[in-house]
Amino acid sequence: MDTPDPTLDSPDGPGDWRMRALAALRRPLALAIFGVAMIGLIALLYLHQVAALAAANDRLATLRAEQARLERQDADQRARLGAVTSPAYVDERARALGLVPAPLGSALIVSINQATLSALRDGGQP
Amino acid sequence: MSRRGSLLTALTPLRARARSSSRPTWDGGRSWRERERSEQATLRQARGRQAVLFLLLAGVLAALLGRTAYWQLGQRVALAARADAQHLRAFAIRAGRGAIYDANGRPLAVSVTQDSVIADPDVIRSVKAMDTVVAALATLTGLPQARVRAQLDVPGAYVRLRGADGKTLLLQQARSDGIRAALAGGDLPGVALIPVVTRVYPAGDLAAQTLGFVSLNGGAGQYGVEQREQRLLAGTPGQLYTAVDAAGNPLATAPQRSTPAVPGADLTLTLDATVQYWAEQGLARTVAQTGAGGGTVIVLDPRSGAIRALANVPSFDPNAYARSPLATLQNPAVSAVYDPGSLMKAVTIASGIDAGAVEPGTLFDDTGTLVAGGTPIHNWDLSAHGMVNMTQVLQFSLNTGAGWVATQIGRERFDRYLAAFGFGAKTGVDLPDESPGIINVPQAADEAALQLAENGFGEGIGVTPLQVAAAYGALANGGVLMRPYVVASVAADGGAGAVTRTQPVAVRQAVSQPAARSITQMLVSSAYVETGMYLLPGYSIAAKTGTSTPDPADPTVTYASVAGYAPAYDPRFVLLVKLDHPRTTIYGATAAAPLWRALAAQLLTYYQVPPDRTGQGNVQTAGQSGQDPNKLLP
Repeated sequence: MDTPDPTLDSPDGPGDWRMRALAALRRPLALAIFGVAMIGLIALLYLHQVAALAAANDRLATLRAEQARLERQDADQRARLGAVTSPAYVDERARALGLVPAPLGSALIVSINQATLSALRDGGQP
Repeated sequence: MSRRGSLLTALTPLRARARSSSRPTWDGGRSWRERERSEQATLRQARGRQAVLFLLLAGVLAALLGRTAYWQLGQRVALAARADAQHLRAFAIRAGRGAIYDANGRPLAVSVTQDSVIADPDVIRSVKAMDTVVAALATLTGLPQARVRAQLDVPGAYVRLRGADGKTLLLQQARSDGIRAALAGGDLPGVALIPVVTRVYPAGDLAAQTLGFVSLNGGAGQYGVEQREQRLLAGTPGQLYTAVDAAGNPLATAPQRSTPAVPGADLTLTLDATVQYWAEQGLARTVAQTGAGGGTVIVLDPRSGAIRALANVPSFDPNAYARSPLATLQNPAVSAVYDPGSLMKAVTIASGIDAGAVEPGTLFDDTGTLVAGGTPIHNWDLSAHGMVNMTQVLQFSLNTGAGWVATQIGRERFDRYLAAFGFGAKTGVDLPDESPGIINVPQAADEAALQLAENGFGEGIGVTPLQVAAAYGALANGGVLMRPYVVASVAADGGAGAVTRTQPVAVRQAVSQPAARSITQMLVSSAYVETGMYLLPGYSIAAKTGTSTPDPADPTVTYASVAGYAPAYDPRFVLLVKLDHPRTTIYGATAAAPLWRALAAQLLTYYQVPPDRTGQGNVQTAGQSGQDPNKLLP
């Protein structure tokens, strides 16, 4: 007759729970339950990863769409800027406001040095 | 258990039978030894069959292993490629086309993405949603319901919605957003949005022939900068590799490998939209007033060669280029060849001074006729001026004097000067379809002599307007010929990358600095006397008129032009005005000079150039030609 394992028989002995778990795993039913649990856990982790990836992809797609929308808006604004700053548009708007071109030679361009400019800015006589 | 052991186990019944049968029996007189031998033979046969079976199984297994190795190792790459081809796709990622700006950053060409609406009437009918879809689309697009219904309620499976003008309806951003929201809500069955990229030229026809346009098919640049800088503007498309479903749609969760698209570069031109506009408007009015067939205006910075304006009439709108005649798409400033006429006299005399053949004070006896190669050459007004110096040759624009200077220089040296000023070769401007011009040298001595004299006053030689402007730029720039250019800088990666600025290129010293200085003084002096029309109060102007007659049979058909620069001794710009076959007045001094003067005055003010002269000689009243120069400008 076999001698009983003192560590298994002693509830307070070191490694007791480990040995009992190992012993339980040697039983077919426990092994099956453990296997199913592990497969479920792995499946859960996989699904979580897939869901996270899908969410990230969705977020990425949303951001790309937003980027495309902003790029379109930027191009629209530049086109609009080009239209309203074009000389033809400015000319038309100026005329609509009653402005007329200055006659040739109506502007007198003078060259002044920095000291004179500073004096004029200070309100004094050059 | 070993294979031998298992065989022994399998043979146990036979052995037992053999042992039991080996015992002596009384069954017919056969001895147990015979039976032993018979059973041994049976055993051998069984073992043989087992060996054959084993070998067969081993052979089959070996064949399977071999086949597996063939597919897995030998055909691995090809099979993987076939598999990838079935479930992986490469999607092109479009690279945005770069924008084009003027020198002050005003957009001249921008690519805009807009949505168009497509619909499948069959699908809409199948879900019995025609009325609701028509009503929703009419509201969201702003089109009348009747127009939407007329387009949607038709047989077929594909409709692209068109606007009131009959062209594909392109939606503004707000309307696109509205339709996209309706699509997401499932309110528009059988409807989809398709993005359409269009090239927009916000300033309309401004600088159209310099810009060119982008064709609808493939978006390649045609004409102008769009064509010349196609590679820079187009950028590099990217690619996305990903797994697709059965319908070819990319799977969001599949691993993806992508090469990002590199947007096209943004270009900044040397053109100033304001100067360009003045040039175009002034030219259009002058062409209309003189009844000319067309014309060209070029404004050039002589110090760098940067082109500030390049205007042509007729022109076209690049936003609707398909409606324009083909001839208007070309840029005649760089591709059209004409006889420059008396504009060439400044080049001839500058060359003569540089060659030492003449000096400003050199006297020439103008009898009204110069015989070259046996053919008499007359002045434009058929008059004779007696003893004149070289400045007076310019002042009176004497064909005889300029022809005489050319003959003094000699054919070979004169050809070298023509080449030095850039005639007979492309200027190298960064625009397509540039012509080198035409310089023909006849073989016969008489014809060659006549040709030389005629070339001296700008006949019998074909040049482009840009060549003339560049040559005058050399006179203005101390004799240094600069290469003209229109692209000032290139900002890579859609403006986000490195900026490369175009460096001015000095092509060559066409004539010495003293010669350039002398001809400038002579042009300033002659400008007062010749007509006085393009004089501006307070400014020294170096300019020359030109009138050439391309058709000897009809001297009233002319090219009328003026080329010059200001201020003469510190030039800010070279300005060329050329009119093709003006009718109401046919001379450069009367047809082209008023516009030259008006534009020069505008430019001097615009560039804030202070006057550089004082005295009576500068006083000039507007409208001396009978036309108010103010009316030539916008």
